[in-house]
Amino acid sequence: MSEVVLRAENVETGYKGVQVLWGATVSVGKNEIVAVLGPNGAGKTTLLKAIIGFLKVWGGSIKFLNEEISGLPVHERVRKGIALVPEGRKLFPNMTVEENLVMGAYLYNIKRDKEIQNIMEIVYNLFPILKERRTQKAGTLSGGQQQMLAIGRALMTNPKILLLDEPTLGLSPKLANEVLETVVKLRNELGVSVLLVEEKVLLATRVADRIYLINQGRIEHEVLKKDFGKDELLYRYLGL
Amino acid sequence: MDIRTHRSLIILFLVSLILLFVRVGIPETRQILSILFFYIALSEVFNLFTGLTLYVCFGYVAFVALGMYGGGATIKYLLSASSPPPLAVVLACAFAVAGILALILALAVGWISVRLKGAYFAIATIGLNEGLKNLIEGTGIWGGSSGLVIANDLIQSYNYDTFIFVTSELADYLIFTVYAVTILCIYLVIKSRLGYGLAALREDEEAANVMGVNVVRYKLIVFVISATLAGMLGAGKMIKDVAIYPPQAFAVSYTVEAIVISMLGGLGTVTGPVIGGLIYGVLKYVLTVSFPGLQLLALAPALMAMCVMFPYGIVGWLRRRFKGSKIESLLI
Repeated sequence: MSEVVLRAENVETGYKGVQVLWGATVSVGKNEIVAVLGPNGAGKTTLLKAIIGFLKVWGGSIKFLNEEISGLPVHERVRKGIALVPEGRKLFPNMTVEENLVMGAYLYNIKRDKEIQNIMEIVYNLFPILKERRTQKAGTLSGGQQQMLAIGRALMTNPKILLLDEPTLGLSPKLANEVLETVVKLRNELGVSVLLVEEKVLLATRVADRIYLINQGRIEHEVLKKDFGKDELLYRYLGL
Repeated sequence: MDIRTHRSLIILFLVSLILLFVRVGIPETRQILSILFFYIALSEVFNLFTGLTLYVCFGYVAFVALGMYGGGATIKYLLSASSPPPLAVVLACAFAVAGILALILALAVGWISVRLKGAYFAIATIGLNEGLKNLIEGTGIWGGSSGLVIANDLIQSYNYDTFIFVTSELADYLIFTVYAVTILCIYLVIKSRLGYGLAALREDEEAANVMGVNVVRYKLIVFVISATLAGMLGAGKMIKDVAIYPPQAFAVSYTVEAIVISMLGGLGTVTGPVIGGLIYGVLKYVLTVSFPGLQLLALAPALMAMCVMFPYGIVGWLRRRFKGSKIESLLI
């Protein structure tokens, strides 16, 4: 692993007195796709919420490009280059595809049309289907297209790292595959690091460079790509 | 600056001016139009916060009432001097004090409550109104439960004719001015980066947040602007009514009427409250005159029918109806 983009160390957090994460440590390198796998309630979404800042950390640290960010509010972290595609996508269903993307470009001064156009072009190249549907209401897109739009909107903030919360949730295997392929594509073409939370183990092993297994709020295991085929614990997650 | 880009605002302003001229020219319309001005202004002020954020503040009346008290107390204080200052100075001070008091209250309340989301915010602000009312009644400040009356002070310091002019003419123009300032504020907010962030916030707060919008600050900004204008509107109302009593001043029905008018016209639009206010005001007036005592019975189904027919408000409906045409661009 080369340069570390994000490192969350011994993160402890939870909701209103119920602790969920009990010292989770993950790191994401430059240009790396890292997947966090685990069962329901293991703390996957909670981990992402702590990294983006929806939840305050109770202990531990979160470093982004070697800078401590755990005290910053959400919008400052976004400004620094962290983007989250939330679970359930959270699109603006009554706005068109293009309007959703423009909304994502909020961080740019709205007067600077040129810059927004440029980044929108990049997103359209990555997701040609969005360009085709750009005047269509976001709520009328298929599930897979909505997920691509959600990723596209997050890319409009020009992030260095993209946090994806179960991007394949509710998608057919074919669409889930398509979405994850675009994740690889955006990493390759834009050089964005990705921290991916998933429950579909087999799919994750196809795209990730490294996998963390999380259970009951603790990272139990780390698997490198070369070991994907032979790691016993990962096999157990696969149900094999 | 290209004037054409602001055509919609200018047209709305001119239409409003026509109403003002009608009021001046046809004395019979005075009564209804001055009520209308107040309700339209109140709905615009309310819309500036609720329409743009979709956060409902039930304690809204508190800001209007505080403005009434602040303005009234200022007038009373200035006129108690041996040689009262000129009328213009007195009125300007009344508006300034009313605005500042509302601003301080809004900052104090907003600082804490805008951190709450959705319904929790509404619950938190519901107590503001009752709290302030009980504070005034309980401690006896500003006349306590016997109210604050400034009619005598005005008559004695100036003269009866001036008093009549101020309360029945000038007050309406002042309320109209607050209205004009409010539509300008909403317009500027909608067209700015702030409005852009608020549009995202209104659709989905979490999504807006991950796009880099500082949601707490944005909510607080519009809350404070809106409350300050509500306070100034209160000062205008005080000059018109020349008296305030806690039960009427803190009546929640204002808030409800402001909600109804905004929703009828179209939440989050500049033109909505004007259209909604005209319909609501005329309907209420006509029903009161033709079915005295039964007006509320008739008003409720009429409003329900309108809400069913125009779920996005009349402006929302018109925008859909004339999508892509010039008319749509005028309906800000």
